[in-house]
Amino acid sequence: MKLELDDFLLIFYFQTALSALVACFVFLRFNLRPFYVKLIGLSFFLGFITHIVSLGVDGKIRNPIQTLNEIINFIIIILVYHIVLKKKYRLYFIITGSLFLVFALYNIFFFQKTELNSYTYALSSFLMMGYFILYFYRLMVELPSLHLHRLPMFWFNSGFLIYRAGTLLLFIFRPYLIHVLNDDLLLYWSFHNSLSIVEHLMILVGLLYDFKSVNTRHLSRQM
Amino acid sequence: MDAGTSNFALFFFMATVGMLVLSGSIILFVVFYQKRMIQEQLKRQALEFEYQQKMLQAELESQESERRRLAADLHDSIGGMLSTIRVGLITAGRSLPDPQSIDETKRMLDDTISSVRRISRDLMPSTLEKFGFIQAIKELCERFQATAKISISFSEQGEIPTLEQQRELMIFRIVQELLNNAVKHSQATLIEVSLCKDEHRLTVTVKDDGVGFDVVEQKNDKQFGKGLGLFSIENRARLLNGIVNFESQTGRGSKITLTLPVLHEKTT
Repeated sequence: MKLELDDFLLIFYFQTALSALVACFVFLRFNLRPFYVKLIGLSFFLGFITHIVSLGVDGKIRNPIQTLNEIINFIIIILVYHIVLKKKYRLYFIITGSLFLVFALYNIFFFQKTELNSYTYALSSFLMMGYFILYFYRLMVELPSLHLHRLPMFWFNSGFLIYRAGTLLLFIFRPYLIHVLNDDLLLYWSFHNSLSIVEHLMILVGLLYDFKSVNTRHLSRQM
Repeated sequence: MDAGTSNFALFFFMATVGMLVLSGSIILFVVFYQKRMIQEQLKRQALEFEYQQKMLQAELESQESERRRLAADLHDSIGGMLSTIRVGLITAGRSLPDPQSIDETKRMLDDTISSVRRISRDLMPSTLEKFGFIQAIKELCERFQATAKISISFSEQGEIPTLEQQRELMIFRIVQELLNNAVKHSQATLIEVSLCKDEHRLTVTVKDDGVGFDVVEQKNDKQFGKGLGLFSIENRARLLNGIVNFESQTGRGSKITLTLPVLHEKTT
C-alpha cells in the first residue's frame, strides 16, 4: 500500500490546523482558564509554530527544532501533571525530568545529533505514559466525579495516552523505518499524524468541557 | 517486500494495535471502575443517612414518649393529688374559726395546680391528640399571647390536611420551639404564625418584628446549648423530609419558614 505525498501533506496540514485551533480555543476566556489548561494551550501553540517552521527549512535545521519542541513539550507536561496531581509526586517528576533532560542533551550532542532524535521522543513517550497512568490511578483513588467525561483533564489525559501509546514503537523503530522501509515511510508517518489528529480532537473535547465550566463561572460572577 | 521486512511490518502493526488496545482498555477500565466505585459510595452514604435518620427518629420518639409519660404522671397523679389536697383544705378551712386565714395557702395551691397543668400541657398537649395540630398550634399561640403579653396572630390558608400523628407532633414541636425563641429572645411586639397549603406542600411560617439574629453565628454557637434549638428544628424538619429556611438580620426581625411535602394525608 502506497501513500502519495499530496495525501500525506493533506493529513499534515489538517494536523497543523488542529494545533492552531487548540491554541486559539485556549485563548477564549483565557484569564479564567486554569493554569494547566493554559500550559496545554502553550504546548500546542509551540507545536503549531514548529510545524510551520518545519515546512520551510532543511532537515538539518528542522530536526533540532522538533527535538527542542519535544523537550519543551516534556517540561510542560511535567508542569501540567505536577499541578493536576496536586504536587504530590514532586520527587518522581524531578527524577524522571532530570533523567530525560540528561538523555535528551546527550542524544543531541553525541548520538543522533541533527537526525530526528527519535530515542528522545521514545523516552519522553515512555515517561509520559507513566504520568498518564498515574493520573488515572489518582482518579480511581479520589473519585472526583461520577461523570468522568465532564472532566477536561480526563480528555486531555486520554488523548495524550492514545497518541503516545500508538506512536511509541514508531519512535523506537524510526531509524530502522528510515533506513530499511524508506518506501513506506510516508505511510507510517501518516499513521503518526492520524493518531495526532485523534489526540487533538480529544484535547478539543476536553477544552470544550473546560470552556463550559469557565463560562458558567464567568456568567455567575456577572449576575 | 522481502520476508524480513514484511515480518517487521506485521510485528509493528500487531504491537502498535496492542498498545492502542491496551491504552483504550485502561481508559475504559478507569471510566467503569470509577463509576462503579462512586455508585457504591453513594449507596453506602444513602444507607448511612437512612441509619442516622432512624436513630434520630428513635431518639425523638423516646423523647416524646418520655414527655407523654411525664405529662400523664403530672396531670393524673400530682395534679389529682393537689386537687384532693385543695378539697381537703377547703373542708378543713370551714371548720376553722377564721376561714380567711388559709386564703393565701389556697391561692398558692391554686397557682401550683395551674402550673402543674401548664407544664403537663406543654409536655404533651392533649389538644394535639384530640383535635390535631392546627388546633394545637392555635391554642399554643393563644397561650403564648396570654402569658408573654405579645400580640400573636395565627392564620391558615388552603385546606390543610390531617397528617400522621408523628408528623403533626413534629410540626407542633417546631412551632413551639420557634415561638419560645421569639418570645424569649426577639423582644418582638408582633408575631405571625401562618400555615399555608398549596398543591403538594405545606408551609409553616413564624415571623416576628423583633431584634433578629445572626443565623450562621447562632447555628454554630453550640456553647451553652444556644444553637441546639435551631439544630433540633433542622433535625425535625429533616425527618419530615422538609426544608427549614431561616431569614433574619440583626435589627430586622426574623422569618422562619418550614416547607414540607404532604404525602401522608389521611383520608378521613
